Formats: sequence, structure tokens, C-alpha cells
Amino acid sequence: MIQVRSLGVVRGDVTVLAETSFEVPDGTVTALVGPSGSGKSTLVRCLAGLAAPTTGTVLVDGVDVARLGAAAQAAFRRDMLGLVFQDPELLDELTAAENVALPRLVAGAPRRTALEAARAALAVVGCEHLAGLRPGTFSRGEAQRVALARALATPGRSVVADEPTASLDRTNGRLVVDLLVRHAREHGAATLVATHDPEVVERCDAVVDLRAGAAVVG
Amino acid sequence: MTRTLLALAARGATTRDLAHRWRQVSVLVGSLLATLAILAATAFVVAAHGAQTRADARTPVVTADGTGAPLRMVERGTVWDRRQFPVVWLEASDGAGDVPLPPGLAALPAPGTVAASPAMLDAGVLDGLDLVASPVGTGARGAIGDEGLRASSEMLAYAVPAPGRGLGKGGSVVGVTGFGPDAAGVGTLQGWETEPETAPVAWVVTFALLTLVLPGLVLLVGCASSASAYRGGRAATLRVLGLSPGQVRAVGGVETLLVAVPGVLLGVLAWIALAPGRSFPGGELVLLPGALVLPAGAVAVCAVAVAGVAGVVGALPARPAARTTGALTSALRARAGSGRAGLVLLGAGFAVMVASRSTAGELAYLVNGVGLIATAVGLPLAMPWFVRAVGAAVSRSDRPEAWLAGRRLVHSPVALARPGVAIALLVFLLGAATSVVRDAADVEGSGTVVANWRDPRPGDLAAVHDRLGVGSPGAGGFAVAMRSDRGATLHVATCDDAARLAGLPDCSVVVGGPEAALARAAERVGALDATVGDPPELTDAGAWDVVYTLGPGQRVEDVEAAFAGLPAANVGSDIALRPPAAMALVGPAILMAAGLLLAAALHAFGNRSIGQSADDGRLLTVAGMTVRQVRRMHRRTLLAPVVVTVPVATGAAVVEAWAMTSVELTQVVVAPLVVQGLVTIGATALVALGVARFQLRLLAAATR
Repeated sequence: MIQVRSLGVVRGDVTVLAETSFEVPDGTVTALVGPSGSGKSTLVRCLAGLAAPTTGTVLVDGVDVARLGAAAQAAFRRDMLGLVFQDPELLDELTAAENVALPRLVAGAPRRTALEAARAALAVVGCEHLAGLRPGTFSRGEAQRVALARALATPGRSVVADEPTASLDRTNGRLVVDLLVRHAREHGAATLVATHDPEVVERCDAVVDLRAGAAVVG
Repeated sequence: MTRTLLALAARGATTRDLAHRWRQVSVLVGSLLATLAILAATAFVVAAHGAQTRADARTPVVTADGTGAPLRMVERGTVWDRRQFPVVWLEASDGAGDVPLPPGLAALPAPGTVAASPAMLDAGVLDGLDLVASPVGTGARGAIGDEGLRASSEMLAYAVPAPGRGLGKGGSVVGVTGFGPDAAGVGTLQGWETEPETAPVAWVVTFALLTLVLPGLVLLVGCASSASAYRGGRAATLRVLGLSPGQVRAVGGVETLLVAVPGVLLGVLAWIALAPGRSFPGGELVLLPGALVLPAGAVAVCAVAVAGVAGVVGALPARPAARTTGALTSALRARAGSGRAGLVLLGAGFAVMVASRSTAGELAYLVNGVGLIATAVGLPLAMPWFVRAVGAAVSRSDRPEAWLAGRRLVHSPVALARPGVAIALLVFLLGAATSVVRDAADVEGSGTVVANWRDPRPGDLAAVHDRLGVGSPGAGGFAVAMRSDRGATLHVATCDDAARLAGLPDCSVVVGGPEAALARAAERVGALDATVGDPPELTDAGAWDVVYTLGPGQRVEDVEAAFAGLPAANVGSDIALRPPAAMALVGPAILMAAGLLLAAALHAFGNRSIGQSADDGRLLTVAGMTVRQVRRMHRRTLLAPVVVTVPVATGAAVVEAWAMTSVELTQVVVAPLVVQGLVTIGATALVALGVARFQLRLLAAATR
């Protein structure tokens, strides 16, 4: 479960987020919407431990991310939270399987085990044929699905995606959302998707609207 | 519109964005150093031109046959403290009215005296050679004035034969009608000086270009094209906003110019502080006061040129500060340049350098030159192979950061080897040059001294030998011989003298007996044959040379001093002279050039590190790596190529040094070369650590 409690983020004189609270239960998908500048990406970064809240707390499966040290936050991202961004963020020097396995390898998992798990994750997103290839030859949709495989291969049950379909065509966008929803249902994952896309919002179980810096849960 | 573009450029130049800090500092420091280098190069050329102009002004203009000239002259090279300098003997012709004087003299020295340069007076040469000074110079203390000197450190003397003695006739005596380009005569006497204190202008121009201007420009261009995620992003945004490519380039150029200008001004101020200096570390050359002070116009031209180059480079399309390891083009380049061909070329270069030891003379230089070029070309081409091999080994590590660093080295060996290649090439070429310079400083002479003088009189030689102590018990004993200039016959008093001339302790150790000793002595001093017996009487100028072999503790200066009073005494030897003062600057100049190039290479190294920091760091932290792991991975990726390439380059330099010992051009100086390599790796590591601190801030900013 993802729990956001009275989250506030102030940068200088600017209030990026104010008193935001909501929950994402396990096995559900929640859309995070709001106009540009409403703080969607900041909230995602707070959840990932990449930004610090000014006030309030964010809990992922009961872990207060902001209270973790840097190393623990890194371990948290590897082990507990699947992250997907608008940009696939793949390393070109690694194969697709190695990219998917990277968090596990960094965590110290045996290479063979990590790569086997990665290939399985790639199969889930329909990209098993890309396992031995490098990202330079991937289409945008393929790259994003590989990135999704990396997030879904995370041992933890929570997934956070920041505009995962923004740079994809409609077909690939639907495919990615299908995979996120299926993963949430099948694995009981709490999934939060920051998006502008009405089609993505329609597929979600709940909507958190960050208008005027505060959450409106619908 | 122009005002808007200028405002954009000014904002870019003064932004406090951390992603732009590296570029701002690089452009500032690069402009400063480039300005200093180019001003120094210009000043050296101007100083050399001034020295050449003064040397031209004292060049004698001669008559066709030496007769009818008001002044007669002969130039000799005298050795003091292993430095050779000219002593110009002058003699007014009988009945001559106004005698032309060289610049720096107000009158001819009195008979039997010399007018000396300040450096000679300061070095105590006159006392050492038992010469008497005549204060007829236009300079302080009656020394030769600055207008007659190439440099303050120049040793030069004008001498007049003692009363009753003259320069005689024939030989190298010339009639002089005047000095300098304006004097009338049939021509100038070329090459009348033994060793110019300063180098020729053309040589200085070439050397300044190679050691200062080019390295300075390399550094400047590298700094002006420094990575900046801020700049790359802003250029893309400006294009999206509707600015033309030309306008975007103009903004980039002006922005760079605005950052470069303070650096240029600091460089000018630094040069103004340094220009009054006249001496150089590690060299004996002391220039005349103000020799390096440039006119304001020249300084302005240099400053504008440096700022202009920075602006033009800044106007080139900004390269995105992308990760060096990831681009598809990089992968294609990696496949295209596996380094195998370079490895073959490098191996061939080594083999040819080694093979040059089996050749001799000019052929050895030619063969070695081919090996040197093959190595210099093969070294950068082969580096990707080494980097890939190291990468493959490192990627077997269980540590994730090492594994990832190894994968990157394997994936992009060409791109990642590039900073190491520049550093390695520098280490190789500097190492090769070091072994040559070290050898030049250690050449030993045979100890053979040949002397003659003008207008010989009976008793001259006896007086010289009295002063030398020849034949007296306990004098150590010079081996003395007379060499006929015409019959080329060597006359020695005893067989032991012949043996010592041949470099042996005495006659008894010569295999083959006295005949062999005589033959070896003749060969040693360039005579056709040798004979034992009393030497003939010296009466004819130029017909005889007196040959000495120095024993332990005996110096060529002793012979010089013994002959000093004789007209136009000419004492020659093959002892190891110190290189001319200007030549002594070659080593420091090469080091300076190497320093600038190393700075450029290290900047490229830092540039690559910074360029990949923000984007790459964010990506890897998202993947669960800690900041420390990312930094460790970056350090491994960037340092590994340097750590592998520098030893290869040092090895190549050692092989080159060893190969050329066969023609006595070099010394194998392993320790200095290893130190050079270690210093280079150390400097690179220091830069890596410094950059790592900045990377940490960039990473923190990127992941905030």
C-alpha cells in the first residue's frame, strides 16, 4: 500500500505541494492527475526517495521513505518500488535483459538468477525476443516495455509510473497501461500512475487530482 | 532582436546553474592560460627579433681581400666553465683614420686589454683567464653596452693585441670597413660568432608555435567546447522557441566570449606581472631589461585573438552532454575501431624501433624514425583494444559498480580511451624527448686540446708551457705534441706522450709498442703520421697547432689562460660544452608545452566525467545504485583507460630510448620515465577526485 499523509513540498518561496493526502490500496491502480506544475512529478520523486518532503510523510508498504538514509533509499528503490518514467532510462551498453536485471545485480543477486528473472519479466511484457539486444535498436514502445519489465521485476509490490505513456502512440500506450493494470491485479500491487492521458485515467480504480497543490480524491 | 540575443548570452554567461559551472570555470581558466601562452610566445619572438637586430648591427662588413680596411679582425672561440663564447680580436690598420667600432664600444680597447660584456665581468672570466679589462664600453662599469649584446647573459669580448704584437697576415684575418647593415663593403662576415646566446628568429617562431601557441590553442578550444547540460538544453529550447541555428550559435558564441574576456584580462595582467622578468628557471639566459615587454598594441591583438577563438568555438553547435557510453554512434565506432589494426601497428612500431639497433649511422635514424611514427600512430589506435581487454576483465567482478564499469569499457572502448590516448601520446613523446635531452647533457670529451695563435714569436711556446707547468715535476703533465698544418705530421717528445694522446696511461701498455702508440696518437688528433723528437721552432702563423691531452684535474680553461696573452689565441677542444643558453630552455619549454597539453587532456578527461554525471547519475540512482556506487563506477570507467594506456606509453618511450642508444642519441632513463608516468597518473587521479566532488553536487542536484 502507498500512503501519502499531509505531504507538503516547498522549494524556496514556491509551494510545490500542500497538504496532500491519499492512499493507494494493494491490487489497485490510482491515477495521479493535475495540470502541469501541480506537483505530480515532485510527488512521484518523494515516493521514490529522490526528493525530500518539507512536511508530512510518504509510506510505501509501511516504510517512511524520507526517514531512510541515502543507501537505504537506494535499496528501497531496488527492492520495494518499481519505477517507470516517461523516458525509458535504459543503459545502452547493457542488453535488455541486463537492463531489467540491473537493480537485482546492484543488490548483489547472483547474475544467473537475476538474468533469469529479467527474461521472465521481459516475457510478461512481450519482449522476450529483445533479451539479448541492446536498446539502440529498440522502438520507443519496445524501450518503454523493457523499462516496464524492469519495474515489474522489482520484488516489492508497489509501482509508481510518471507519465509512462506520454511519449508513446495510442497502441503502445494501451499496451503499457494493460500491463500495469494486469500486474496490479495479479500481484496485488499498489500502483500509482501520474498522467495527463484521459484513457489512462479511465482504466484506473481511483483518481487523485492535484489541482491547486492539494489532492482531490475521486 | 540583437539586444535580446545579447541579453540571453549575458544570462547564460552569468548563470549560477550548477550544470554550467564546469564550463564557466573551464572557459575562464582556459582563456587565462591560452592568453599567457600566446603573449609569452609573442614576447619570445619579439625578444629574438630584437636580439637578431642587435647582432646584425655588430656584424662586420668586410673588404674583398682584407686590404685597405681601417680595421682588421679575427674571431676566436674561448671556453670558460664549459661555455664557449666569442673573443673578437681587433687591430687598427696602420695609418687608419677613423676606426669603425662595433655597437657597445666607445673606443677600441687599449693594446693588450679587452672590453668585456657585463656577464664576463660578473663571472670573473677576466681574472680566470688573466685578461685586463679596458673600460671603453658604453655600458655600466665600461662594459660593452646593451646595444652591442644579444642578451645580458651573453659573454663577449673585444680584444686588442699587446703592444708590439699584431694579428699577422693571412688566415682568418679580415679587413673590416664597418659594422651593421648600413656599413659599406663587399659583404658581411657570416657566422662569425661561435655560439649565439639567443636563438634565430625563425627557430624561435617555430618553437614558440609548437610549444606555446599550439598547446595553448588546444587547451583553449577544449575549454571553450566544455560540456554543459545547461547550455545544451538551452540551445534546444531556443531552437524550439523559433531562433534560427545562426542565432543560437551567436548566443553561444557571445556567451562564451563574455566568460572568456575576464580570463583574457587576467591573463594579460599576469603577463604584465611576469614580463619584466628576464631569466628562466633551469636556464642561464638573461635577457636585456624590457626584452619581453610587449607594446600595448601587440598585447591587444593577442588578447582579441584569444577571446575571438573562444567566441568562435563557443558559437559551434553545442554538443549534448550525453553519456559517453551510451550513444548508438559510439557503439558503431566501437565496432569500426576494435583496435586490432592499431595493435598490429604498435607492435610493428616496437619491432622497427628495436630493429634500428641493428643498423648504423643515418640508416639507424631513418629506421628508428619509422618505428617512432608507427608507434605514435599505433598507440592511439591500439588503445581501444587495451581498454576493451581491461573492461572484459573488470566486468567479471561481482561488485556491481565494477561490473558496470567493465561493461561500459567493453561497449565503448574508443570513446572511453580517448582521454587516455591523449595523455599516453604525451607521455610517449615527452619520454622520448627526455631520453635525448638527458643524453645531450652527459656527453664526455676526449680531453684533447688544440691551440694556435697569430704572429708567433720565438719564446711564445716556452712562456705558455711555463704557465702551464709543462715538464715541471708535480705538474701532472700535459701530453704535448705539435701538429703540422701542412704535412699533418704529429711531433711528440716521447712515446709516453703519444700514448697519453691516444688515451692510454703510458707507452708500455700499448699493444704493438711505440709504433702503434704513435699511430693511435696520430689517428686521435687527425694527423697522417707521428714522429718522436724535438718539435720544430714556431715561426710561421697558422703552420702549426700545439696539441695537449688533459690529465686528471686539468682543465681546458688552464690552457685558455696560458694562451690568453697571445694574439688571437685559438684554443679548441672537444670537451662537453654546456648547451647554449637558449638551447637550455628547450627542456623547460617542452615541459611547459607538455604541461599545457596535459592540462588540455585532463580537461577533456574532466569534461567527459562531468558530461555524463547528471543524466547518467539520475538514471543509475533510479535503478537503485547509491551515489557512492555511481561515483565509484564513473571513476573506474574513466581512470581505467589512463591506468592502462600510460604504462604502455612509458614502455614505448623506454624502448625508443634503448633503441637509440646504439647511435648514442639517447640514454635509457627508466626512472625519470616511470616518474613521468606516475606523475601523469597521479595528476589524472587528482583531477578525477576533484571532479568527483563536483559530480557529487551534480548528482545531488539531478536527483533532488
